[in-house]
Amino acid sequence: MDLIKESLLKSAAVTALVLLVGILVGLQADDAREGYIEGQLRESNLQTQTFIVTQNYLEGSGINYCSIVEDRIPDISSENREIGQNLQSFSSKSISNEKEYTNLRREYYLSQLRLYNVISEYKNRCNQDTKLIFFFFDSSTESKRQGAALSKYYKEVDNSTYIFSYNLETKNSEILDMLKTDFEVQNGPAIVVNGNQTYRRYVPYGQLPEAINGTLE
Amino acid sequence: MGIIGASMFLGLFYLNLYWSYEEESIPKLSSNPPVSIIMPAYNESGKVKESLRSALEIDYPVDIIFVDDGSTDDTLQKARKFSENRNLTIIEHGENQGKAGALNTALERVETDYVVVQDADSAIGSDLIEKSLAKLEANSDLAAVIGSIQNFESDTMMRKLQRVQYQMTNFYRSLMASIGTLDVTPGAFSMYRTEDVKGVGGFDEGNPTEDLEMAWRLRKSGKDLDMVFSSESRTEFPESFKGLFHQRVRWKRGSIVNLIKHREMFFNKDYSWFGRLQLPLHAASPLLAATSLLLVFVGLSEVVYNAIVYYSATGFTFPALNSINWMRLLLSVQYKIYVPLGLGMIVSAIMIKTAYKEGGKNFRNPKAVFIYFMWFFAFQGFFTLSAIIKEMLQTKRIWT
Repeated sequence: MDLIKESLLKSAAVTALVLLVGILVGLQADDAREGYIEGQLRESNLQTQTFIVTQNYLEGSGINYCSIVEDRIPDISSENREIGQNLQSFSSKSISNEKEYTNLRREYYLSQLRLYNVISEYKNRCNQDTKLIFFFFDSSTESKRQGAALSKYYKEVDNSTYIFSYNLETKNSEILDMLKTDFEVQNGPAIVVNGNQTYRRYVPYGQLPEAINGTLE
Repeated sequence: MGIIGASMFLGLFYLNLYWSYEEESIPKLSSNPPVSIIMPAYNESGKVKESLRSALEIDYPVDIIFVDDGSTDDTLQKARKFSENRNLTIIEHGENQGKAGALNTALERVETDYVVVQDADSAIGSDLIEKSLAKLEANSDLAAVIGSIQNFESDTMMRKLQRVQYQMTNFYRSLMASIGTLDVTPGAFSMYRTEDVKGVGGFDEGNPTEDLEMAWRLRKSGKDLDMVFSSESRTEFPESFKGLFHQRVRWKRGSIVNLIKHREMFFNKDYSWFGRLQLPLHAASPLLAATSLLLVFVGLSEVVYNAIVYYSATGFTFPALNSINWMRLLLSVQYKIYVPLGLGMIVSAIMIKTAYKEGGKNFRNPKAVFIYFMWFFAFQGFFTLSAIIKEMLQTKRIWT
């Protein structure tokens, strides 16, 4: 075989090998991302279960239920937010696991609604002013801006606020479909505060405190 | 991934050639056949004296035919100062006829068996002449021998970058010569067998890169081209980005013109690996650079767009390091892209190191090497896109 043919074949083989290694590492990274989110979801579910069990257990006891659960709220809120951000970030990096991410999202939405119910219960029982926000978004620029504004609000203004994010473009999620129907939301962005105030538009960062406190027109 | 794969493939191909090829020694020159040097000049006032002096000082019997192609500066006056030399002939073109026209005017006067083309902003030496002659004398299939190219000064960053690029170019050309696919006979220094150049009809007048076109026509006539390394072939590099832009866009436009003109040679087995490999690579490489540039542009635009969206909603603040989620950052990396890219960059770094070693040079300017390594492809892409646009708009081609 002449030198050129040999060089062409060798370099083609090595290039194919390198690209294959890249794909294999990429697939491994996919698994690692999924595993990471699954772990976070497991932890979140466990915390929700703990919340529920604590609620039930302390129903008839004289121990102050409110002071016990109050301390946990910022942590659970933060983790819940992070799972949503990770799902959004990782799903766009996935090589082959679109279906897996759809399932993870469905699981996340289910977990979020369960958490919403539990915290609503805590809110009523302890007469707390905790803010529960549903944030519906899609791929529009306004949705991205709303997400950024809510993140900043959570970090810099009130980290005891609960933000439950739902991607309106997720398919086959009964939970999402139900919430969309319930709050009459079709397009992003939209935010629902405490289940009774709905803003079907972009609310700028400067107006968020008023919107969340219910004083925005 | 396709672009990374293609770039890596080319790098590995040339590296494998380098590692596998056994260099032949240059034969000894048994006689001293006379040589003519033809030197076309158009507004070369800055370097013409140095170029003529280098040719006149060559320790070998040479005739020099200098053609002033209607210069509007004092190139001709400066050349005339050397007119007392009996081996120098000065020809004046009243009007600018283009470089190929000037070369053909000089070629008509050549009576020697070998002819050297030397640009009027370049300098050459006798070692280069003797090495090239030895190769031509030893192999009748050779129509031309080119020299490795060095620069006069490396005083600006643009020149330093070009110095790095020419190290790579010399390395690639020597490998191309070793497998019979060398595709250019540069104007800085190329020695031709006179009968071969005349046999294919001289230089193509009006062609923006007559040196490239001549090499392809010689290939078409079944002749081979070779190269010698020498520190004695130096040329002036453009000192600014503007100058480099004009030069490279002209070269790229010349490539487009010649690729269209000689399209029948593409993938044509009659022209061996030159047709099957070199011409497709000649067409694909700049397009690869242009596509890479566009992808980088799209990627950066996305980053800027997202930043604008984010900060327009929240106002600008510097992100605190402790607010960065490092695990998410690590898991967000596109490994399928960055693993091959990282390995490809290692191949490129080996190429640069090997090219410097082969050219007998040291890394004199690590900053220029780094910029070349990371960003020169973007320059190439920009020049290619500009050349394509200019060629589509049919703007005037200028001899710079």
